[in-house]
Amino acid sequence: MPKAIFVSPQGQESEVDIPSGWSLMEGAREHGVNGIVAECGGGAICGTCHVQVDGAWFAHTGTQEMGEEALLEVVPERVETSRLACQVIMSDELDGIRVTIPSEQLGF
Amino acid sequence: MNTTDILIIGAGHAGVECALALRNNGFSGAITLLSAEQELPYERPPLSKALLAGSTDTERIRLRAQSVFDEQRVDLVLGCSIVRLDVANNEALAADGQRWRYRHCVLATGAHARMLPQPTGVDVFAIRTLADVAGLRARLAAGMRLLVVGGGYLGLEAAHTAAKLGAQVTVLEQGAAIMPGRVSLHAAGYFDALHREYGVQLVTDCRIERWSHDEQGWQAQDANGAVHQGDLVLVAVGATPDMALAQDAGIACANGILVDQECRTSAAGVFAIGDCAAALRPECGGHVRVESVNNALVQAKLVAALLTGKPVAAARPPSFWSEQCGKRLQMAGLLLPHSEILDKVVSTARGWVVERYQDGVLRVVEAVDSPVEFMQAVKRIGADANP
Repeated sequence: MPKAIFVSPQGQESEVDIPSGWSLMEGAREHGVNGIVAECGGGAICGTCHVQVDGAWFAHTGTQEMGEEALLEVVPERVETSRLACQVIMSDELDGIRVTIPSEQLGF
Repeated sequence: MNTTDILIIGAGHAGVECALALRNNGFSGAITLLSAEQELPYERPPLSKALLAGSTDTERIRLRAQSVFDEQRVDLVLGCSIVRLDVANNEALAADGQRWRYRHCVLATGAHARMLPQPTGVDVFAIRTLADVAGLRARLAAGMRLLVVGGGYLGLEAAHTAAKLGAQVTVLEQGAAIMPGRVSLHAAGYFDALHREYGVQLVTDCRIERWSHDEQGWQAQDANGAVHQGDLVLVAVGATPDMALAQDAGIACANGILVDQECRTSAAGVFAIGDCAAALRPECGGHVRVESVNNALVQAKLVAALLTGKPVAAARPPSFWSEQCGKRLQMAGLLLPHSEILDKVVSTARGWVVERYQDGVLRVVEAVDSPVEFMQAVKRIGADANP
């Protein structure tokens, strides 16, 4: 099963097994990774599952819909490789993907 | 007799969030989380959508893996139904005779599907629990005729899911429009058109006077004399808060377990959060019960903050969403009762926002395909129309 590495704002790493087909958000929630709120349950409308994808991995995370792009423009601590964790779907290709959780999610 | 520091009764969105938020805030005492259901706690919104459709499964909609509760030292007890609360002695009694003595109790008992005197029995369903969905899913198939009683959020979501599965769906709504009294005319009209595009039959102003059942299935005769036929019936007429435990304990209840702005009930040391709680909202002039994941999470975190001496997050308008026909309706804010509403529809790049004003003040915002504009408008709730 592919795994993802979530890095906390303080630099702590959690390695988490996520089945192919699950989103990063679902995997994080299942394993109780802190800091990914996912208030809308994965619909790319709340922006509270924002993560900063490690540079090398970003290109493999798939395309962004316009709704996600618009939300990422307003999330705190946005970087070029930001994604909504609910829109990144796990696969063997993403085995070992590393993402950093921002210290703040949209207060919403 | 079991003893615990915090006894949380109910392991839905609110109960689970409260337990984990307490730990997250550094609470080091004992936390007991009781669920009357046998399954690990799960997300509720997918029940009428992806789970009913079969595009997700029970494992994937779990709120957390068992290991998370273990690691966080939250004593999660499944299949445990509390039948009596003794608030004078801080004790809770379960159906199997187990007792818990607690220092604080959090009621997160949620709500149950309201049923009707008729129709009942074979091929009549509700959607509130995992078991409900398993039953309905097993019977839904292409060509099956489904009658949905109630054109509110849940009924409409399920109607769409069933239609996509190939069922012939008819929604029977007694109001003049779908989601009556809940959404603007614009939003109702928008979703009405979408449902019809998907082949769902919407019958409004429909009051069923007689239900009958035979080998052809169910027949619902309405006040206009029309007869609606179905193989299956889904009753989706709202949810009733689970407050019997509180009522029997002498805790003040009305349209829910009554709580103040800190989610405290009338019994010392007892809180209520989520779908079961009717919280005092001064901006509305009374107690309002909100059924949404956002409200459950906010109230859960509020109580966790209070119990651990952490700062409480500033109050924000409650928010809510519904997904029908592949579109997400976002809503935030509460309407004042008995006050005229002025709706302003604003087109956005990909969708629309409706700003709902009362007495010149923005009270509620609705949006589809406009998450950023929605957020910006919600920040203005409570502000004047023309600042």
